[in-house]
Amino acid sequence: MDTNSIELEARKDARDVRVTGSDYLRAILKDRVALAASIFLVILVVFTLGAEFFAPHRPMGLNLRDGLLPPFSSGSKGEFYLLGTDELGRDIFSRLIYGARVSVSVGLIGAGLSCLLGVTMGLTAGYRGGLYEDIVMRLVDGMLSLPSLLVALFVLFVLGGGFVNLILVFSVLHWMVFARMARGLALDARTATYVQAAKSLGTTEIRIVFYHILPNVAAPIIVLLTLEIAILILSEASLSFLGFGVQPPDPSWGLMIADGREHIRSAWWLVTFPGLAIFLTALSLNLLANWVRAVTDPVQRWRWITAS
Amino acid sequence: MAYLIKRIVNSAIILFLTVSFVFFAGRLIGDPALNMLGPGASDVALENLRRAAGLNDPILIQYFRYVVNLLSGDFGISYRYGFSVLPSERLSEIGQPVIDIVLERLPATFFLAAAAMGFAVPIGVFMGVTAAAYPRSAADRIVTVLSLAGVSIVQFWLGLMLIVFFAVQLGWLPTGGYGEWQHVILPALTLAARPIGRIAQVTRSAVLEELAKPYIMTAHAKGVPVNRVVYLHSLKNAAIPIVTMIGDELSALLTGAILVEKIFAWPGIGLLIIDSLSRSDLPLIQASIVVVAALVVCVNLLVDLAYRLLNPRIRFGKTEA
Repeated sequence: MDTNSIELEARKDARDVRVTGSDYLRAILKDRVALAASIFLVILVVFTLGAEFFAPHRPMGLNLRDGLLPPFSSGSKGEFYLLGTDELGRDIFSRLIYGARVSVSVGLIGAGLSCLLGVTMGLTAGYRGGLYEDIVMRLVDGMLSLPSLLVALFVLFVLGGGFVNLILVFSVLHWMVFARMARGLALDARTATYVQAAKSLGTTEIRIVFYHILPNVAAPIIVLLTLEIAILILSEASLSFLGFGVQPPDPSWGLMIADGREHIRSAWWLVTFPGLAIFLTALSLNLLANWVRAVTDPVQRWRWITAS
Repeated sequence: MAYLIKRIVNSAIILFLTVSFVFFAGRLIGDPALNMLGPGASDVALENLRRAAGLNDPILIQYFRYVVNLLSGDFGISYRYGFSVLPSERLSEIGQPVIDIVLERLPATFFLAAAAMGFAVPIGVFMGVTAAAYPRSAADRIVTVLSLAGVSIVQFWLGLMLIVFFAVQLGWLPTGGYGEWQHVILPALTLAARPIGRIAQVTRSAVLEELAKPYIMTAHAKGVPVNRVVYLHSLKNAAIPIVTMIGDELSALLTGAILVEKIFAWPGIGLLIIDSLSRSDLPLIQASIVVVAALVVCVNLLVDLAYRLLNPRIRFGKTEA
């Protein structure tokens, strides 16, 4: 038998005992908290993608006559404002939907890029070892010991804020946790039987690392990625609030809080709703990560999948 | 011992790289003399200042001078504090040394961080132990959701909400400021939310792991009261990850304080950083960043050492973990 057919045979066997997608679906239906979190995230993504369709008003539409209206009030022309308006008469609900687009994509792209960078560095370092591993891990330790928000603040002060710079800064400052985890996982996998088997069949190193090891260590990395998205959404809000992130008039959740701060005594809804949106998004991501960790843990998994 | 030296050398390298980064990145934003005197300055004044500050020297010599001065505690002079527009031949006469300004602000930040930890450690440990003592109970679920909520909340928003509720609506506490004991409560609570969540999570899993061990069963069999088993026996052995987490959160507090100090007008180093960024006071920004980075690196180093001291397996073992 040649290499490929042995590999194929092994994969067919593995698939028989593998937990399938429908098992996960059944498991999440049983966990009400995780279900609520995923429903919220799905709604968020749908709103983000179809902001033009779902937003009842234009996010930048000025209407000075209807400034600072409280939630559930009607404007001068009879239009309805679900979550009220800001001082320029812009609809808070519509701005929240458009703001989600900015905040969520900064989180997703930033965390995705740092995951890509970190996992590549970590897996190769763990598998290769030697001087390369030493240098990568020193860099990881060193960068992890720096205050990342402060460094981000300084870099954005020098480069200027904005969507693209924000994502670049996040990817450069957040890859280390992924690298550290991936390296640990690769270190374990290096001596695993399946890797030894692949190696003895003459599989190339790159193929071993990215085709054999990566799928086997994906679960903890996905958990970390979910947590990191939440962290980046929080950081984006903080940096935008300070004026170094997304620049006005783009609506971002952090910026909306910053804008509303002046009116905090008279118009509580300006600050409350964007903060609540960030909170619910981050909480849902954390709850979902918790759930993924529990279901993919081989020790705990049986309880989630098999329990009737 | 070898490990200790390796760690210290590593930290020193990181700080050196931070200093270099801060120096060169600072030059990217433009001519320091123009930044100092403002766009209305005459060419003569700019040239005088450049000569006085040595800005006409090659950049590497300036960098070398910056590092050497830094080692003797001289971080340069502020472009804004006590700054006189009349350029003088002696730099010390035209602005206040930034390191003095930074050091003056540190006690307020330390006080705030200590107060936040004073809230976070007892509450977080209590929540975690309670959850671990009754796994899968309602209390456990509440603690899990609360601790995730603490991690998911935006700190500055929580601060604003606390201001709206306790200061504006109820009028119990001041909206911001510094001086009386009432001033510290809201900012400390704001900062404590995240560490409470993290400490509760770690305590829960560490205590849960300890409670499954045979010595706990022995204690139960001997008739030791349940609370004593949970709080004394298991907590003592679960201390290592908890202490590590407290240290981690302490260094996170130092940066988290930037936003919280801004919200509550707390005159610590965080507020100083925001102010100096908005006034483009480059030497002050550089000094604050280097000082905070040094503090964070030191805290991380101490946490790592404490972890080794606390864990007898590492303390007495010959092998490196």
